[in-house]
Amino acid sequence: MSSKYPLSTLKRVLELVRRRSGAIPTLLLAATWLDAAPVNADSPSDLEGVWVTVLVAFDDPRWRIADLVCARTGCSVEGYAYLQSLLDDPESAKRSTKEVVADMEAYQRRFNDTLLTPLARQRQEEFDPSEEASLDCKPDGDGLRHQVLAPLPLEIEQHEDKVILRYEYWNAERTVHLDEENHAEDGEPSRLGHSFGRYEGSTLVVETAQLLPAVTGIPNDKPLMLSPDARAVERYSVSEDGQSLDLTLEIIDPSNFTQPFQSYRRMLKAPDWELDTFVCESITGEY
Amino acid sequence: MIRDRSGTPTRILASLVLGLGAAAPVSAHHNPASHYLIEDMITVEGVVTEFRLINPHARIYFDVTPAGGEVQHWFAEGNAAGVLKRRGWSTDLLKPGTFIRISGYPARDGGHKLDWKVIELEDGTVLRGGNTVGVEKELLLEDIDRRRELEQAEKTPD
Repeated sequence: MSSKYPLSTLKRVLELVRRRSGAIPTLLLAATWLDAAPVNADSPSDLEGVWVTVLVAFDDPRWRIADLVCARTGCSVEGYAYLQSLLDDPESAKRSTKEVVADMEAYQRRFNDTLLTPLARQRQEEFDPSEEASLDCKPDGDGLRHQVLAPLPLEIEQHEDKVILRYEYWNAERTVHLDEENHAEDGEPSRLGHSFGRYEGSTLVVETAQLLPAVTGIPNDKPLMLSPDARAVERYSVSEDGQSLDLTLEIIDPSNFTQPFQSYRRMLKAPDWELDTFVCESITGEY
Repeated sequence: MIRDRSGTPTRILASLVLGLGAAAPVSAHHNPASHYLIEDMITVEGVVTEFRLINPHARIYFDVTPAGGEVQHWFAEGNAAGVLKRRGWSTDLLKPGTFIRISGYPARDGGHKLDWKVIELEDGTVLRGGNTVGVEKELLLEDIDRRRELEQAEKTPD
């Protein structure tokens, strides 16, 4: 088959699912979807431009059904691949999306049950909603995961020594330093932390640490405060036709998660779009 | 392409159908379960006093008058302005005085507020635009079913 998707991201997804779920016949179909040769594997992906999410461009025909489903649920890497395998199964054509998604969610729950540490569950029980600082239009409470997986468009600029990630969400901007290989020992924690990166073949790999503790709603829809030790690894690669961006995000936080918590998102190139200004109005005091 | 200096993005041209494809944020700005009972659903009727098309969540302020009771001041919370505007919403959509029948998650603290799922206007028009994970699940899955049917039809030989 012709190669439509970069191997670097998608084949990792399948491999993870195979490893964790055992022999699931339908995953062989996902193998077809994922079995693509690397796209210009030795040169960086062209990440430049504006990329949009399902949330702002639902009607775009370039979305896969799995993208539409995961826009609501926020799929893990494994959940997305498993869902795709179900959808690719010809038998699924006879079933409603609701039934297929129920299967995927059951699979996801089994995985999530093993992800949280006892301390994380305790933190969830003790969580105080007033800790969500973002209600007063200060984005402090919206951590890196919320920013990276925000529903609004992302613009990327690639330079020789850095990559700029510019988000409509909170008008935020991150710099990924390509000329650094470590985090400064005396770096001050911040909402989006300090990031350095590199290209591994065509894939941009970003490592982030020095994050202020932030609330996240993973993996069971209950609020959870990440620890000061949390760090993240993101991977960005582009399909051969340049139309879609594959993004995976790993949150590594051993006091909360038994293994890295991974999320997957596919975004679409939108050359005619530009970022809008994120105008925020405080809602503190109404809760 | 790796550039050596910044460029300027081009102008947005988005054509979206109002209310269609109203999926919820993968990572809501604040966790709905913190403030709303996401296992429950209520419906109330009222008259809009103000519609704020804002971030992080659009807000509808409206008055509810129970039979024989005093006017209650309510508000409902929906999706971000950045999302809703791209689906065709504007501040003129819910003018003061507009009747609404609005359904959503009730507040944990029992206050007069909800996280909206769907809004029905007096003429039967149905608006979506809710915020939270799960709140529009049924509607979204129905949208996706329709899209899958179209894709299947395209694959099927005549």
